[in-house]
Parts: sequence; C-alpha cells; structure tokens
Amino acid sequence: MLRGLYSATAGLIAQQRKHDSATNNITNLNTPGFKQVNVVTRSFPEMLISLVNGGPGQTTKTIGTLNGGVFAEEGLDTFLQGDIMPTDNPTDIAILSNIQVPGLQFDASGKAVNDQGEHVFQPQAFFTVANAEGEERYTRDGKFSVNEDGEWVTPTGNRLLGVDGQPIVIDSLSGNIQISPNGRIFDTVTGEQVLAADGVTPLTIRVSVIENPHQLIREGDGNYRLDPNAEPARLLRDDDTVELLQGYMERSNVDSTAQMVDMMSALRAYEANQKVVQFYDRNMDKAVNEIGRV
Amino acid sequence: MNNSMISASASMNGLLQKLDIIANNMANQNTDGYKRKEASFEDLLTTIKQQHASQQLQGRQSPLGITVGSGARLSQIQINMAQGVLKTTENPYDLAIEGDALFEIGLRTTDADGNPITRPAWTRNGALRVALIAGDNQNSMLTISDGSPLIGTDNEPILVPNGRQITIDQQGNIIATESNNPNGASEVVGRIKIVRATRPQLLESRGENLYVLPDALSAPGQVEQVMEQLDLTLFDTGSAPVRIRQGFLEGSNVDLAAEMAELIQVQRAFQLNARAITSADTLMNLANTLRG
Repeated sequence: MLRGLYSATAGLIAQQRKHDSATNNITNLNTPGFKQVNVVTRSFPEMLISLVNGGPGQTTKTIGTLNGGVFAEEGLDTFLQGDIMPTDNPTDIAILSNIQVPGLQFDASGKAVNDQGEHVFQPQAFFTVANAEGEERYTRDGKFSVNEDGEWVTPTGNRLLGVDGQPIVIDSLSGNIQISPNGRIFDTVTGEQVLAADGVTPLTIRVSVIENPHQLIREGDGNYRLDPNAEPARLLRDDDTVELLQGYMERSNVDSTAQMVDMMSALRAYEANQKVVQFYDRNMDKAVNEIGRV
Repeated sequence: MNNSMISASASMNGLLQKLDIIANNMANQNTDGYKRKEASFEDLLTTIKQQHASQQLQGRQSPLGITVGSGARLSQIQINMAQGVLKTTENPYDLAIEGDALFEIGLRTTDADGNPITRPAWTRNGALRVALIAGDNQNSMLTISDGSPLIGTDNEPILVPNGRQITIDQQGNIIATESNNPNGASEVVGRIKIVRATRPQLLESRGENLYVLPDALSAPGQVEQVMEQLDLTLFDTGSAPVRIRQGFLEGSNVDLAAEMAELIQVQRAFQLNARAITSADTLMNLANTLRG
C-alpha cells in the first residue's frame, strides 16, 4: 500500500479548496461589508504504524505515527473592520464595531486568550434583516434603499428591522432623515425621533451583537445566519463601542496582496503534491514493469 | 470542479458593467442636471458542503459544514442625488434647484395602444424655453428643451403672458412685469411645482436628463405618495432648505477625480480576477498532467 499517494491526493484537494477561497475573496474586493474567508486545513488523525511479521520470534515493533493526509476543515471569516467610505446617500449606513470585553485584550485579528487559556473572539455588531420567509439574518452591508412600501431593504430585498422586531417603515417626514450613532432615526426639521407605523414607538435600527461571530454561517448576498446551537444574538447595549455612520459604507476587508500570495502558494503547493503523485506513479511503474524482468 | 474559474468569470462580468457606468458618468460630466450613478456589488450564493459529525474535532471554531462562495455580482445601480455646483448663466429662463427636489414635466408619449398620453417626468435640469402656442397670441408656454411643458402647482402647464418680463422668486412664483416699464403692474402668473422623491431609488433614468416612475407605480394615487409636492414657503429655512435660483443652472455632480479613482480600482480588480483565472487554468493543467 502506498500511503503517500493518498496523502498527496488529499493535499491536492485541500489546496484546490484554498485556491477557491482566495479567488472568492478576490472577486469580492468591491463588495460592501464583505468579510474575507481563510480556509483552515488540518491533518488527518494520527495513525500508529507498527511492523508486523518482522521475523520469526519477534514481537510487533512500533515504527511511529503517521498522518494520512490533510483536509480543508473550515472557512473562518476575518471579522476585521473594513474601510469606511463616504457615499453621500442618506440610506447608506456603515457599522464601526470595536466591542470590548472586560478582562480581555483583543489582538489585531480580534482574538484573545482568556483565563482558562481558551481562544475567545471579539463580539461583532450586525444589521438585523428579515428575509422573504421572515427569518432573521445578519449583515454588514449597509447599502439600503427604500422600496415602494416604504421599507428599507438590502439589494436582495431583505427588510431592515427595528428594535421592536418590525421592519422599518418611514411614512411621514417633514425633512430628511438623520441616523444617530446608536441607530435612532431622527427628522432633520423637527429634530424629533421618527415614529413607527403605530405612531407611538420611536424608530431605532436593530443592531445585533453576536458574541462569537464564528458561529455565523455565510449564506451569500452579504447575509449570515446564526447557528441554532449558538448563543443567541443580543441587542446593542449603551456601553458597546459601536457606531452607526449615515452616508458611509463599509468596504470589503479583503487584503488583495495577501490573497494573491495565498493563491500563488496554493497553486505551488498543488504543484508539489502533483509531483509527489507522479513520483509514486513512477515507483509503481518500476514495480510493475521492471522488477522481475529477466 | 473548478470553482475558482467560475467565481472569477462571474465577477469579471459585474466589473465590466461597473466600467460602463463609470464611463457613462464621465461622459456626462458636463451635462447640466446630471446625477451620477453608482454601482454596488454583492457576493453570490454560498453553498455549504456538508461535513460528517466526526469532523467536529477539538479546536474547531465554526459550526459543521464548509462554505464555498461563487464570486460577486452587480446588485444595484443607485442614482446619487447630491447637489451639483450652481453656475451663473444670467439667462432669466435658466433655473436651478438648491436642495433635494425636482421639477415636474408633462412628458408627451404614447401608451401601449399607440394613443398619445401625457405622463409625469421629473428633472433637475431647469434650462427652460418659451414656446409659442398655436392659436393663442396672448400667452406662451414654459417648456424644457424637447418641448415638454413645465408643470405648475395646479398640475397644468405654466403659461406666461407674451411681451412681459419674467422673474421667478426663490419659492417658485412666476412674476410677470411689463417690459420697459419698471413701475408697471406685476402679477403672479403661476407657481412652479416642486416635488421631492421620498423613495429616490424607484426613479428610473429615461435619458434626456429625465426621471420617470416605473409603469407599475404610475397610478394617480401612488405617484403622489412617492413624489411628494413641496410647499417651498415652508422650506425656506431649516437644515435642508429648498430654493429656486433664477439665472443659474445646476452642473453635473460627477467628480472626475473620484470617477478616475473608481476606474483604477475596477481595472485592478479586473486584473486580479484575470490572474485568478490564469492560476485556476494552471491548476487544471496540473491535474491533466498528473499522469505525465
């Protein structure tokens, strides 16, 4: 059995997956609110290799451990803040999120180690939108527009929700809208908070905070859904350092240089694995066609 | 399956469309009343490759399943309604709107059966002309360059008496004074209808600097809901005043430097995607030559 042949094949598949992910990041260089994905690879579980039938009277002899290959385990999103760019559009909103947790010091990639020595990730703030089925989704793409029913929608038609869980609808307005950093919607002329359709509740954008953003599952179109087993999203608190900026959008946080390097290294690693497969092929060629030839 | 190639080509398509929009903005940088268009992208459908429960290994950060994206697409084109610069022309029939509002025009067109109808259209370009009316020696009509009449607050075309000097105040009142007689009687002959788009994203660009509403929204009641008529006497002050300026035209709000910056970005993104395709092609070649 040529174990290495299968390890190299596993390597080919894993590198292809890495290449796909780097390409997908590059293609989303101009997607507002996009978060880059990094594929994490992991080796196959270790196997203990032992020598059997070493010779007459010998007991089984242990050779050592071997990993049978590699696989792309997961795609982790990098929830770093994207650059903020002015758009002059009153319904474009960007989230500036830098939530601190007492006792933890997050590094530049939003990771920290707690007292128990576990990795903890920085909580992140998201817009809460409702999809066509009415299910909650989370997004950082704040390019909203107003549809014919007066609802604020994302380009795919998901409705932006308010803190009361209802879609935000603005019926009457005497001036323009103004959005405060904590998501309250004001009228520029009256200076008062805009009321919801019932005429009582003041309108506030629902900003959800996800404690562990890696529990979010990417759905495409800028949307994430939360894993049902994860800790539920909570509403934004006053002490969270999150700011909403009206008239701005958050650019994609893809680092094109790093992605280009990732793509090239995936390509070369793929090539190296291919060479290993070819070496095994030549070995087998020798074993089959040359050994035993008289 | 070569996912890289598919996602890169999908996104190159979107980038080409964005390039077209940038080119259109640049071409219209000297068009009076032109509003720049902006394209935005969204990532395409992500598929989740299911993983077996045995792959929930210690140290894994995310829920089971690995997500595979398939590129980006152009998701929407928005009209940027920001104010353009006001240019003096000294022509009394040139009007500019200062603030977030539009003029209404009665656009002559034909319906599905070919019958002539008039439907409302909106514009920021206030370069007006005086058109003579056949069979009426007393009055002329204020129109835009293609002959469509400017609409007044009474929802009728605005008529001005011949041989009078026309002044238009900040609130849109049209005042006719006798020419050559500074002390002569002056009268208000009409008032320009000014509307604000409450849902500007619904406006469709029709060319000739005109915006129209899609046919589905053209029913009489709906139009008023989306295009709110403003009473300019109330908008004179406050944080977002709306005023009419006679003798001015509004230039285009295209900023050539910003467009160039966008252009460079699009070009580089296009190059990166092209590189990704080359790289994906090399991968395929390597797979093909496994058995060299």
